Amino acid sequence: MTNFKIFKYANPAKFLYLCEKTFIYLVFLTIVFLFYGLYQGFFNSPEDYQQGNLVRIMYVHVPSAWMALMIYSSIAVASCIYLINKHLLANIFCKSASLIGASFTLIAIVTGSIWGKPTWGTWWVWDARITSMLVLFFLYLGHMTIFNFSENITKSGQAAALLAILGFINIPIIKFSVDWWNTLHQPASVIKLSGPTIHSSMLTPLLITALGFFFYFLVVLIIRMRSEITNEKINNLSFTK
Amino acid sequence: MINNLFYIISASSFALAIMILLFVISFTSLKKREKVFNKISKNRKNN
Repeated sequence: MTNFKIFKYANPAKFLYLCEKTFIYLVFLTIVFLFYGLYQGFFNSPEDYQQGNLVRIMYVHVPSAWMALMIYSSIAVASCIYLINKHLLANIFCKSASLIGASFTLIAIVTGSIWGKPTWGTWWVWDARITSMLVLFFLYLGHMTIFNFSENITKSGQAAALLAILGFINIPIIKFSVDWWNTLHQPASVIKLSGPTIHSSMLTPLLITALGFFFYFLVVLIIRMRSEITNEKINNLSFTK
Repeated sequence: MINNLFYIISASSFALAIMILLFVISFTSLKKREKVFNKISKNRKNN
């Protein structure tokens, strides 16, 4: 496992060097994809035949929900790596990504609620998809709380990693909740085996915005990981004083 | 129509506000920690 090339960058110094080289390009890609995708979604994509212009909420709601699930899955994978290989960088990744994932989950829940009022006639309903997203938000909050118990992240990292791995069971529940139960939330229309059922004039801006959200995640992740690495350096300097 | 616009603007501005806030919080935290780190390492060099 240690022969994987990716572990070459599991060294904080090499990781910081890589971040320094790529950061400005990621900022550029975030601005381009986010603004172009949102512009296309809000002003150039067609109205929905049933919902009219309200469908435009999709361009912030859906990418946020995808990011919330993707970030939690990556935290679960990094937690496994941390528990097996004890890579400090995997633990720093988990701590740094947690708040970003929680923010995307909050955005997905709130924008979904705003979308639900005019389309369903209610701000909130305890259906399977929405409730499981709320559970994901609480998992993120729990994960962040465990890390905040101790200044030393190696102490809190193991407990947080266990929670992240156990909580991963919620990810397939969120994804398939609309198929397993009768929900008010619509079934999947993009990520499905038979291919997307959404028209390309809506799908293209949606995917561009999703890429913009992904690059934004990378930008904020790098900032937060650099911050955590600096904090570790401060702790080490204070300890060796 | 105006009612729909209210929902669209509310949802998108909430999303953008959270994203900008998260960026600002993360960046400020990084700068503060870098400042503390530079101060400590400078003091140690002087000592």
